[in-house]
Amino acid sequence: MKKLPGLWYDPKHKGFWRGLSFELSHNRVLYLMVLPAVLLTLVYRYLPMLFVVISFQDYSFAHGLGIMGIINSPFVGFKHFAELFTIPDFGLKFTNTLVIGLGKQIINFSGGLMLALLLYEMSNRFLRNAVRVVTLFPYMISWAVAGAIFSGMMQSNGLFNAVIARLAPGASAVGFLIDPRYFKPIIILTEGWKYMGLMGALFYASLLGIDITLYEFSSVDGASRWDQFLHITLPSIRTTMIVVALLNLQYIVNVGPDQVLMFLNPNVYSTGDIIPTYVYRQAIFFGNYSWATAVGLSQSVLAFIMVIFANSLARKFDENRTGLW
Amino acid sequence: MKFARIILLVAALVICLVPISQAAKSIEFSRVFPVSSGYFPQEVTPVDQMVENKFGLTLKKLTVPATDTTKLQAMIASGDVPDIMLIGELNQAIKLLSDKVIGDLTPLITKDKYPLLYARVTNKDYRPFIAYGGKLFSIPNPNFYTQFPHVPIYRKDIADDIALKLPTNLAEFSSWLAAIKKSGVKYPLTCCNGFNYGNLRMVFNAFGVAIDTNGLWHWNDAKKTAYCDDMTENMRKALAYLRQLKADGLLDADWSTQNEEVMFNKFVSGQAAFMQSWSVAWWRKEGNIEQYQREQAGEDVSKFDPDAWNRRPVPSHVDIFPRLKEIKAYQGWAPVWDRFVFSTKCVADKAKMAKILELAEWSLTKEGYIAVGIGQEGVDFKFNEKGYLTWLPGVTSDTRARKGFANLYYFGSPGDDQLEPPGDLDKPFDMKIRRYSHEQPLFFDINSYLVSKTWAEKAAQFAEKRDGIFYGIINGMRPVSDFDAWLKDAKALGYDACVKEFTAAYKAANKK
Amino acid sequence: MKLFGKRKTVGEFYFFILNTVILSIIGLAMILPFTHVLAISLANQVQLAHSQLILFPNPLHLNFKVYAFIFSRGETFLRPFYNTVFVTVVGTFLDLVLVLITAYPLSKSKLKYARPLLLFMFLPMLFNPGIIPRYLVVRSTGLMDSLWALIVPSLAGAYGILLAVNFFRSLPPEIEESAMMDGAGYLTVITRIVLPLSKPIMATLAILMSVSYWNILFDAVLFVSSQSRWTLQLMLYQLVAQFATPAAIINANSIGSMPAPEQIRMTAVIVTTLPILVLYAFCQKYLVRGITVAAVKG
Repeated sequence: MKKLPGLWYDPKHKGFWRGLSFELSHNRVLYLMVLPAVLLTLVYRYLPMLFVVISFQDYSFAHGLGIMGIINSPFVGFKHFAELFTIPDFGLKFTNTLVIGLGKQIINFSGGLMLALLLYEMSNRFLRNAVRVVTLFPYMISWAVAGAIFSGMMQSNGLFNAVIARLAPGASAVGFLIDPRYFKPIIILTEGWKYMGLMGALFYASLLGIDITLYEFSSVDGASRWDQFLHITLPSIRTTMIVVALLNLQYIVNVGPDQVLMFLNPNVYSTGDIIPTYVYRQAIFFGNYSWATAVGLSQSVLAFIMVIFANSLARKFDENRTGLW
Repeated sequence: MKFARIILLVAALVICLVPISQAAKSIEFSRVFPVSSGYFPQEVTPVDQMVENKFGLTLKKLTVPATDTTKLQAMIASGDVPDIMLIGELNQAIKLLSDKVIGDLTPLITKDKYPLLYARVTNKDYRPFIAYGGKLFSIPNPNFYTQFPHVPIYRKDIADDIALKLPTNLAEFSSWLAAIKKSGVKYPLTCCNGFNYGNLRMVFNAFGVAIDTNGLWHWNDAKKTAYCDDMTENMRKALAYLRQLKADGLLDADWSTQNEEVMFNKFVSGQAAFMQSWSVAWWRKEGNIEQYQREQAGEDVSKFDPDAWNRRPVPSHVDIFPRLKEIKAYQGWAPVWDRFVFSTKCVADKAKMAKILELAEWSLTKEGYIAVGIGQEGVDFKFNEKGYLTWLPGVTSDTRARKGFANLYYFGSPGDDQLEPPGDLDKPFDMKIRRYSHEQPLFFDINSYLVSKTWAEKAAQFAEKRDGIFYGIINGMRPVSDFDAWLKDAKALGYDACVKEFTAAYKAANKK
Repeated sequence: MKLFGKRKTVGEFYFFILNTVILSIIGLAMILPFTHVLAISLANQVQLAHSQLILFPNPLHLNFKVYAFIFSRGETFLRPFYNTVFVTVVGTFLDLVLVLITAYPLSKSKLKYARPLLLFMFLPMLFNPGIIPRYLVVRSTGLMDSLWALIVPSLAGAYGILLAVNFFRSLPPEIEESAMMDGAGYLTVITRIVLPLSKPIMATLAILMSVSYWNILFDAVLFVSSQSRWTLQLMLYQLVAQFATPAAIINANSIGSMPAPEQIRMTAVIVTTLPILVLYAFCQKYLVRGITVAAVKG
């Protein structure tokens, strides 16, 4: 190890700045590699985040445009956050958001996991590759198109009702899109359709990293396929499972409005209207940016708390101390 | 590259300061339109060339390829306010005015300099849509009323099959629908989610039941108060009626979730016999109030009288379009649909504004009107003896350019390729359009030109509550008695305050 | 991947059958909507008006008019296509490089600030401040109206970095350590040892990134103005929007010569997704080869 001259040589000296410069110079290559991404993140992700300050202001174009508008708008503290709770049926919308978010993540995660495992255990190469390729197709189209396709299929004279008519002649057509009871399952399942392949690909990639010799040795020792599955396959991808779960945790709260908007209509507001779609409608109508930003910020803070908490739990209970960071 | 652009911009500005001579000078101004106007951008169209030659104006296009105005909002927020914007929503325009994003045009448009324009913007019926608080903040889109009215349209062939004559009242209409259903058509009446149940109201208006809905505010002259027709007993009856229709299978089960294309497909393929939609062709001939008013008043635009539109007799249209016979149309459109607003910077720039206003003034002359009237029947197209659209030699033969320039001024224009008769459909069908009259005393709804603070804040919430309940009632998911729940919710949201505010605003606006 | 020999027990055989059935159902469910889209884009307009309920294109009555209609706008098609390809290729390449060189150091636990830095990268994922601040930032960094505005702000996203970090952590450290003992610098370690082993994560990331760059629409709406920089998605979105105006709908249905907006939309979907699908299917072969080789070697 090269001895570095100067006061900042000995890391045992207390002092944050000395420790910092030691660390940076000792591993300078590694930190340099990280630098471009850090700069990009700072500029394109942290700088825009400063904009959330308008949620504490009464921001409007009247106070000026560009950065001056932000600087000159008056501060109002938590006024807009309080308005969050005055949203009509706030409790209902909030529960809808959480239920839909949770349902989506469960389906995506378990569906993807199941898909990856099934693919891994499929010995027929053609089927395996074909299904792998095909399950990624839905990920590649946007919700605008997928929404149109599915709503088309769910109309009273659409595919699903045609099948129902065939199987149960005489039954009246099911109004999938207008009945509030079907809304959440539709949203959750169509999300699964779209993202299961992607989740599956993520898990499958890590499955591929498992050392095959482990299986060979264990079968020599007399392990059955099921034993191998339980004791080799699953534990090997445990870290990936944890990381993916943590990464997607925020989407339980940060449900995006795009998909829901495709299927939302006034018939199903009671079960389908979630906070982001409500905010979207209000913002489009009125351009009340301060309020919309306040809602977004609250969602993000909630997601943040969840992830921090979950991450520390994961690190505590996992033997490798796996976590996102 | 960026540096060079700055130099060019500075040069352009310098040139603008020099007094304008005969040679074509280039004044750049950027204009922004949300692209729902179907504008397919081209860098320079022949019409732009014509404008440049005549006025020395370079129209630098900056289209916003989005059907919503998020990009425009972002541009304004960052300070890149375009010189000219086309804004549809009055409330949005007023907000821009109060935020000082757009400028006041009052001092610029004077009677001696721009007589035609002056007459237009001081006309008392257009004024509420283009001015606010004493400030004139916009120029109306000169081709308003080339919008498309909503009309009920029925399939004549299917109607002929059941050999019933055209219904003239609600009872006859109901039995008519039932007879169509009996003849095997799956949904006698179809509609689409684009205009929700409000579309259905026009069906009933066609047969003498005045149910104005969709949150329109009106003036009750007897009681001297404003009111919202969503709260009336008439509305309850209408909902109950629609609910019954749906339960009897006479209303398309997917009316609340399908879009216009699906609705059209059903109608065109004979799955539905009656639909609520736009009548483009008729409107082009008869619905163009500008043309109508010109015919009535001649070239003196100050003599324009919108009420004449209401009072005129129902013409017969056999000669226009052979496929259209009796036509009735809903007339509840605001006179000013889109309006041109100008950024404060642009308004302050005397030279630019002089050019723009010159262009606007020219568009009101006969020559300019024809150029701007691209896309109107009689101007650049007509219907031939078979009833199909044929192009007339217009300002330019480049149809796309036509669309481009036309969309400088108005929304909507004919498609490019309407030259062949339909050959793909199994059998050409006759589209009949039935017109009905609007029974309310007001020509247009109040809230398109009067402002109530509570309503401005809460309209979206009203709409949501209302739609949830109304849709549920019609679709059978809720009982009709839920209408009372709606009345309660509306009161809780602030209906009474809105009534007070609209009443006061109406009285103030109609003092003279 | 055949793990070992033939299926030895009855249980395994039943499992195989079950597996095949489930995977086939999943596969069909995933692909049927696509064949539906393809079918509509190739359908005869009369057929379409009668019923939208077609799952497969009818090989006897293929109608290429809609494709001809879209491609006939020749001058406005090639340029956007090129722009989208540019954004995708350059974006994926840069993004992949950035993610890998960022994730590698951050996966090293000996790095004192690795954890805080990861948190630093991850945090913005949770906060979405909206379009106005993004517009402001892109504008002030001078990327306005440039294809780079579609590439640069999306580079080095936290999702990819965290996945890559997780992958690197799973690699056995002994290989690198022994190499470094022998005097190899980081550059050698990365290029000779880590990268060849990273094929699975590179493949996954490449898919994620290329699809995401290819499908960019909203950012293009915001940041791109001049027509020469329009992307494929933007151009086709515009086309669909243009033909979905009331006039267009009525004309399409009553006169019948112009394609219905529905058809145009579906054809636009095929035109925009087919290239990326083909690319993906094509690269599959190489990725699979790389993965299995790496796995065997490892």
